[in-house]
Amino acid sequence: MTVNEVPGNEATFGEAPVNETTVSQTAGGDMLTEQPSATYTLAAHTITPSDSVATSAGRAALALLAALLAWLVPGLGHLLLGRWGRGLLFFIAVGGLVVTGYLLRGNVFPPHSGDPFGTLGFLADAASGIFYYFSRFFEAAGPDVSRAAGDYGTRFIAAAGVVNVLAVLDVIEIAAGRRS
Amino acid sequence: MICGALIVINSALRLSHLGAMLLFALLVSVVLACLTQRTRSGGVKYAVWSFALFVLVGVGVAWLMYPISR
Repeated sequence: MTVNEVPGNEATFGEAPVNETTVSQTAGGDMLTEQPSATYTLAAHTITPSDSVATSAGRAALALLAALLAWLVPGLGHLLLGRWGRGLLFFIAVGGLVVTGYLLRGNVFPPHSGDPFGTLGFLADAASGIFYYFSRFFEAAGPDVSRAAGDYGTRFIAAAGVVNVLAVLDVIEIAAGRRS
Repeated sequence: MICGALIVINSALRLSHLGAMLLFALLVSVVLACLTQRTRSGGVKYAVWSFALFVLVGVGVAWLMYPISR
């Protein structure tokens, strides 16, 4: 259930009763959706501190789960939140960048490269989630950075990871209710 | 069979440097527009503007580096 407090309608906890609060509920289920299909208004609803804690804890759990899924499979976190278009866009963008990078025979940094730049490269590559492990399928012949195309491919793979990090941050913002 | 399909895709996707740059600019521009703009019209404008800047700056830098390329 999605709970939205009306801006400006301050809720006070403790001895004083809480003012009138609007609660909107998504009729389709528990997931957040871009356009709620129905909205119900409950007048004079009292929010107790335990309700608020439960709501924030639920949001935090949802944000954590969505962020984890968004990292593992680009776009899946958005799908969980009901943002189908955005999820598909991120999947295509991250997948397109990383697969193009593999086909250009870009370098994929291993986890234990031994130098700081290699570690940064691994972090960028691994940020693309499951696509990181697809390199062995797409790059059967291994990377070739002796050509300019291979060097471009390395940048494509790293950029895909950075784009997916932005997608994960977007998922967290949406799940936390700070972004519509 | 999968490897064969990938080889076909790979050969079909023999991107030139310009083609790689255009693909990169397109994908990144669309993602940035989606992340930063709230309306569809604003997103389209932002994506077109960002794509154009990517290409113009890329071609400009390429021309600046041309004398030292050989």
